[in-house]
Amino acid sequence: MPQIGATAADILQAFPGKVWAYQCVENIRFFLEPTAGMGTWQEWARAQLLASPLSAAACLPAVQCRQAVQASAAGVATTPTGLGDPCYDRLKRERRNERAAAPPASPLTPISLPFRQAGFENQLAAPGLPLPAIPLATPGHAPFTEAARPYSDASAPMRVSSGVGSAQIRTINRVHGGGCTTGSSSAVAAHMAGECGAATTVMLLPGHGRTALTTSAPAVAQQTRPVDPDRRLPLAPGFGPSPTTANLATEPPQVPDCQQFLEGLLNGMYYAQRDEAVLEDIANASFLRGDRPEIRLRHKNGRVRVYSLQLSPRQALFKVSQAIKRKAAARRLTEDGCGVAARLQRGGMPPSGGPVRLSASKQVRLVAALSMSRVGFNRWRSASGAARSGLASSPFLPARREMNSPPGKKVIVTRPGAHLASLTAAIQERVTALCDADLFVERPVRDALAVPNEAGTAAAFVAHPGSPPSTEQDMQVTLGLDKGEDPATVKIVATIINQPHPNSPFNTMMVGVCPCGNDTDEELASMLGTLLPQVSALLRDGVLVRGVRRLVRLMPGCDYAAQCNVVEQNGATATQRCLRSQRAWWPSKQQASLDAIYGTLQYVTGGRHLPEATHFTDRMVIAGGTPAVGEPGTPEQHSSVVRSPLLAVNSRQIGTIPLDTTQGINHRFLRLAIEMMMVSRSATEGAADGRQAAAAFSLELVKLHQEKV
Amino acid sequence: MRPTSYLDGLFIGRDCHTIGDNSAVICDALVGKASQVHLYAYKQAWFLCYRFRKTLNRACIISSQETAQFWMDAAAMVTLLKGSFPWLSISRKLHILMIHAPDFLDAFGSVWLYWEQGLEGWHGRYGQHAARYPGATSLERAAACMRAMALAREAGPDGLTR
Repeated sequence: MPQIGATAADILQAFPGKVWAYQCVENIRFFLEPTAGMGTWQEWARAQLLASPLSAAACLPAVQCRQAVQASAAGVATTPTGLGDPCYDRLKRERRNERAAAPPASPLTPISLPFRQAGFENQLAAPGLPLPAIPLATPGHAPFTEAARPYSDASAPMRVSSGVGSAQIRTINRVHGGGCTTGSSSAVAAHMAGECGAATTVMLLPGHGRTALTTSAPAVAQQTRPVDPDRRLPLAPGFGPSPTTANLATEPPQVPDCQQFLEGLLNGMYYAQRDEAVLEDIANASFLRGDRPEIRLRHKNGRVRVYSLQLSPRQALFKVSQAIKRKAAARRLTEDGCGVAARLQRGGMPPSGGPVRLSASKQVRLVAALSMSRVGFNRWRSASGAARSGLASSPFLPARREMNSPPGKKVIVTRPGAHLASLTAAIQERVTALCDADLFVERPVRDALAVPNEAGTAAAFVAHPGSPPSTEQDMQVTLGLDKGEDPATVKIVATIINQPHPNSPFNTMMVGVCPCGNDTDEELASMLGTLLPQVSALLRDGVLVRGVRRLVRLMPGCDYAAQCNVVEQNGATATQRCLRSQRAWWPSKQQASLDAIYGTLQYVTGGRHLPEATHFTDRMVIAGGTPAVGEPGTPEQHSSVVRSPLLAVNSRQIGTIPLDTTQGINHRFLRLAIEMMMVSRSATEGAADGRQAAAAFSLELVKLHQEKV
Repeated sequence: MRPTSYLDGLFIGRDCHTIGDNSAVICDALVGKASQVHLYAYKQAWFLCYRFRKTLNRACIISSQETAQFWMDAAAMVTLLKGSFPWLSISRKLHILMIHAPDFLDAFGSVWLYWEQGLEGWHGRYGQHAARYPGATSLERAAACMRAMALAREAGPDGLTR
């Protein structure tokens, strides 16, 4: 017998009490059953004498026993047997493969059992009894071979010899249908127990058979299993016990036990349509056992708990469910005629309901937003079902006329261009709409506008038009103009900052469009001739925000050239960098310190609120506002201001241009890289080589940008 | 990245941000071709520019702490550039960046929100829509387009849902 380090005698000697080892009935090897405390025991046992049974037993591998079989005769100490985990899985795979390969045989097939075990020649197998495999064991018998292994497949016909050289073949009836591996394993386990010389057999317990009792073979032959009449199942013909296939009329009909039925069910034997009703009854009997008032559960410690069914409401007060709320919200949107836009905006599934009906005014707005012509709208309406579409036909023109009537939407045409009739009305309409939609956003102004003057004291507040004190609530509007496109047109756009996403195209309003060739001072003055009185009225009257009148903080939002034109400044020159700063060539302490550092007159300092940041507009307002002082270009006129500004706004509110600034700085950095290279090369190889190398490097830089950047 | 001819041949839109994001490529190209002092200052200037560029081009209200950091970074960059490269002239944009942008940011909380982005967008929108409106002259077409845009003003997403 192949063993690994230990024999049965060693194991029995090593474990005087409870045996922690078992012998696998499949590969006839001894293993240790993993048990709590085994590690400690192994360490202790391995420290014993090298050839002792204890040391040999401790060296056995620990393998989980999947199917334990107690096979020992009464009064005889034997090694426990079982089926190891790897062998169990392998047998399971083999059984599955064989079932998949071969069609299921008749559930009741007479099989011949060639008895090969001495002492069983005269024992008749109980006919008609679903016998487990009969264990055969004698001392010193040869181990089972693979072909003769009876437990390799319980559903396969099994032949049992009645003795060496015996030709007697006896048959027993065996219920097929998955087979009971417990029985077969137990039989082999009993066979293994035969090492002790006792011919034993195994009788399965009525339950599952995990625990087996050993009885003698004659007792098995004489023992009849009690048949519970309640377990008789009316299975379909061809399945289960059949009276016609029973050998003897006097025998009780074959009734598959629960294990066999379960295995047959798992193997798909009862999935025919005719079995559905019975299977449903079985399921009902298992899961719906009627109205049981209580469930009694006995724990291992003997304590009994009783569970009873009690119904209780989950909420004391039931409210409308979330689904109903959503349906109601969708219905409200649909009734309001804006369901389509709401769905488009949110990107969700359309709520169930009737067709969406937009009012005539909203249809007109939508058509205008989509730039749809009248012909296109009529085609759309016809394709959508004409009158059934809910789109307006006759109200279209009256609604359009009605919507054109408000001054905020009227457009007047003058010689320089087209303008809104009333900027104040247009902004008031938009602000009212924002307040109604609860989208008006407060934009508080910090007190940083109170810039100290040159002496370091607080500057006197100069009441610029369009620059209310920061302590008051205001409404911020940017007014920008820019020339673009071909043919060129100057667009004048007003933006209300007090809203989310103020720069969105839907949130800005076009105030005027002026076809022009150039945006020079004269043409700009002509374009703004219609708009400037409206701006003055807006700054004077303000707008109503939730019933409260607020002043408007006006901010020029143009590009730099337009900003300079609006305030009538020459633009960036060598002596004046920007329109908000005084020219720099007048000596000052700050400038003198810069000159000492850099030897230049240009602005370089980290100080804030520089004296040169004094604003010329302050002086202009103090001096009388718009009248020009002196002749253009003379020292009497402030800095580089050409003439009185078109729009006398607070220059501190002139917005910086972030993107242009970023572009300019990037451009300066790229140019600086070429200059660095040219300076470095010129210092070593001369100016000509430096310029030539710089030209080559500029091309390399362009290529680098196109490839990598 | 494609250089686009716009604003005197400068880079626009995302391209200019892409240049700033990949400034290391430019610095690597300068290794061995410029002096170490210049190259170090150049890298530092790019780093400072990278920090305040995010503040400058973000359409949200900037915190006071970030505003102060913006001012320090901008001033440090301009000072570094002027101190390291004597031939560099302080352009108008550098002057605005160092002097006026922090003031505006401190007063209003954002620079990008008050920019002319909406105005620039109107160029493209007007170009798309103006040709669809009838008119004998460009002025008439402009007037028709303005009327339509005045109606469409309330056809935005929030306008239709009201």
